[in-house]
Amino acid sequence: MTKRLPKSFFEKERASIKNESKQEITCISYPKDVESGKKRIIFTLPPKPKGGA
Amino acid sequence: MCKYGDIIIVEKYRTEDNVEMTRHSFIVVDDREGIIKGFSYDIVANVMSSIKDGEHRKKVLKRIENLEITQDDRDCSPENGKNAFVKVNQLHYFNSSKISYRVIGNVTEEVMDKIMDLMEYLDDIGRLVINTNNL
Repeated sequence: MTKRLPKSFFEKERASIKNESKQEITCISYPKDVESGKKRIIFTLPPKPKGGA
Repeated sequence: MCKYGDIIIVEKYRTEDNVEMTRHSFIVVDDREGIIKGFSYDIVANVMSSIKDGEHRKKVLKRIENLEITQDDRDCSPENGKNAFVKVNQLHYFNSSKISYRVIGNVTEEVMDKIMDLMEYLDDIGRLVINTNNL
């Protein structure tokens, strides 16, 4: 079961982002078949490191 | 319509300092209708950006609010398997009737759970910020 935060969490007013346009935001380029909707992208987390702490 | 966990590309959006940015991908973190600062919204999303190289990755992941995720395209070979990161501390609010977007995929439940956990923690330490310029 996916964890979801309550709706009230997102309706809470918070400070605005500052200088966002000056931050480095690099667009991801997707293959044409993804852009056109023929194929879908699924993102996963990186593999967990092996061995214990 | 998009739903929680979808990856969407928004054709144009305005940053908080009102600069117009084009064609950027986001992860939908809430898909319920709500009101913020008196405006209606029905999409809340985190911006997703690519990790360019090893140096960039080190720099990006130094920040606690950035979560690395891996591209795993299950329909074709991951030739350009560039990884990406999500800026979990930034909440971008959209009204779907005011933007042009399309759904190109989704992230896994595991990723969404991580995002929610991190988002909750960032809220506890006062690090969540919002962009309502697209409402």
